[in-house]
Amino acid sequence: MKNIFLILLFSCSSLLFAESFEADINIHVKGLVCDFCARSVEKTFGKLDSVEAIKVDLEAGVIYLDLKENQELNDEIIKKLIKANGYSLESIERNP
Amino acid sequence: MIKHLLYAFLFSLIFISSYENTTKVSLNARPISYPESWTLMQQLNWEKINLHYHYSPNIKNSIGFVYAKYDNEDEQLYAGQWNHLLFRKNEKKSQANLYSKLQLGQLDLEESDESYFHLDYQLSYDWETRRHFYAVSLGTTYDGPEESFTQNQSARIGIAPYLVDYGKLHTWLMLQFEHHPNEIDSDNRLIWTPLIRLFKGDVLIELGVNSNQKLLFNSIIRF
Repeated sequence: MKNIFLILLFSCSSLLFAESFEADINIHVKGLVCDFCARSVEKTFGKLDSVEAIKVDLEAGVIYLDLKENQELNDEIIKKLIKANGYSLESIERNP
Repeated sequence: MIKHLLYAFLFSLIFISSYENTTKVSLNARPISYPESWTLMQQLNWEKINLHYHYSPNIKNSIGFVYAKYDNEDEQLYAGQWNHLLFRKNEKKSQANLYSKLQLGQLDLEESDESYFHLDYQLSYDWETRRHFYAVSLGTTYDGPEESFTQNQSARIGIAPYLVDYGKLHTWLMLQFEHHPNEIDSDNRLIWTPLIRLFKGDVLIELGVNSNQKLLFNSIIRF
């Protein structure tokens, strides 16, 4: 019974985390059409010290970045990384 | 989108109206990986088993080694391969690519214990959305001195029956066409292969059976 409770608790917390992804930056990109593309940007942005978490929405063509506390990532670096991965930057949105 | 369909159509016309001889056909998915990554590509089809291991320093280039063993002819190929992205067009819902693939190496004939210089050049165009896929490849091969220059053509169309988020299992249903004009009076002159592509994370697998009931099994792993 205790195990079942723990599994349920873990599942709920996972769901809660998935729902509660709050991005600091939304990067709108052209050409993001497949899993290899998503993997590419995930690996590149994942190497940055300032990035806490990444989520890629292929349907919307948006990369969501959650930054670590008190960390910043300027537009120039974002532009450079998107270009280096072979995609075209549309816009960068910063969430307050 | 219309422009890219037009490019694909023009490539198809060249494909349909093409040449007299052909041997080696290659239609690899994404011949260049993301920057600073390694890729292992394996192909098994009616003609050969092929291994291609390459490194992509950036999104424009990949360089690697190819080994192939041909089924019927006791031939083995050892070659270097350079893939180069000539052109990419990104749209909100699609991506189009034009790749150049150059292969230089040595073809060993086991029976006669002879070796020949091998050169293969392919030009591949692909266009894809999350739902549709289209690719055409045209090329020429030199396996001197007897076979000299030959040409090859292949094409592929695909559709994704469902769409899922990144990280989940993606499925494609595809149809591949190969034209082998030198295979006179042979079932291999024109081959079509229905296949299924399964794709998750860094791994891609393709499985099919061609019009001559021969197996096709391709896989790609990125590191």
